Amino acid sequence: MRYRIEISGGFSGIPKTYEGRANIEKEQLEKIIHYLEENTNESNPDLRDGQQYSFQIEEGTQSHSALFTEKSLPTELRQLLEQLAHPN
Amino acid sequence: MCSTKCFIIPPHILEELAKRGNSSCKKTLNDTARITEKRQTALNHLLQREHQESRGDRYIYDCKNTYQQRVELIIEEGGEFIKDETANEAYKTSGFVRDYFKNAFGLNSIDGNGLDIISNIHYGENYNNAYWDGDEMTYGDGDGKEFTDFASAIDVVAHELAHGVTQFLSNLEYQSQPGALNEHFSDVFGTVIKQKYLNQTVEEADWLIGDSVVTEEFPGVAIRSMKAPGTANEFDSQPDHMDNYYNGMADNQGVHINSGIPNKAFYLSCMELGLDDCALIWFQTLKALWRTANFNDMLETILATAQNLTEEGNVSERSVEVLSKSFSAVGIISIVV
Repeated sequence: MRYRIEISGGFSGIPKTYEGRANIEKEQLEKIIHYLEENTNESNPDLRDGQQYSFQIEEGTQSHSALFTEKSLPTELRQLLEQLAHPN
Repeated sequence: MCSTKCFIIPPHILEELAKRGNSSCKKTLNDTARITEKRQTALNHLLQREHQESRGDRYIYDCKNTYQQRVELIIEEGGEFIKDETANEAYKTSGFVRDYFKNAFGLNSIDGNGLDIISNIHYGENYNNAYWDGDEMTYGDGDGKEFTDFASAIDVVAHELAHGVTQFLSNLEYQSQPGALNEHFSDVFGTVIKQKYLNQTVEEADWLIGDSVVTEEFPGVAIRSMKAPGTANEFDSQPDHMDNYYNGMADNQGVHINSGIPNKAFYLSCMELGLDDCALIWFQTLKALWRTANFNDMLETILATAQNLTEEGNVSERSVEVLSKSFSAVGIISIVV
């Protein structure tokens, strides 16, 4: 799986990008794709200094992308981000 | 006089009346937007709200490194300190901020009505951020590599709490110039309260925002600089003049970027007028602004506010002159019609 995850906004306002390849088990990959496709993009209009999360995933000929807010980002994708950003 | 009839008046007319100093129309404009926003999240907020009493009490919750708020209540108002130093610091700093607004401006907690001050600490894993969500604050521990312990930093806590104050006073919308002003006011009270907390003069202060949440590995000394916007770190793209105004779409059209312009004007004003006069002028200006106010509205409002405060003998007689000069220095100049 190829991935590109961009984090923007937040208190610092400093954007951060993670990209590369990762070996993800088929079951986890299906869950990730499900979350990307089912994104409700729920937002909180009163949120200040919240981050935005842009996910782009490519597997074979398929590509999936979605933009999440602090509120809408599912825990499973936060964990994936954590896993990719801090592999150890 | 604007009464309930204001609800059928189009927003652009309300805005124009608000600009001309009609405070009830400003309130209607802000309240209408806030009510609309609140409707969208009302149920969620109702389900989350546990504290009905409003005395500006502090509640510190440990998120236990999950992405959930309010996992465990670990300190409440009047409670004893615990082993967790981050919790103790979050309690102390949020109390200092609350007391500053009360003592300096008579503001009873964030909303003026004794809203409880709820802080969530240890949010997520390696979470490099702090935010205000409309009701409460949430702080990450940082990744330890570039950022650390957002809840212990007085300027970060004051910045986030000030977002709450702004929400209830002027409700500046969070995009483009109103959004940059929203960020500006949070940096203003972040730095004012930091200087009070550290008992510094304006000459002694470093005018940095977030210097204590960056590590030695971080490529810079802080997140932002009010004295020299654009110089705090390698990624710092804040302009210090309208000539370099950011026109892009990122960061809600540059709310953390263009705030550098009024930030510099604040710094210049403080060096001439002192911290307390400027803090009072900026606070009263925040009360007078409205949801869609832009940089020129800010200038017009701050000059009128300073004039009133000068006539009342509350600030230096040089205030209007110094403010005009400071805003002019960053390229925000009065439009003469």
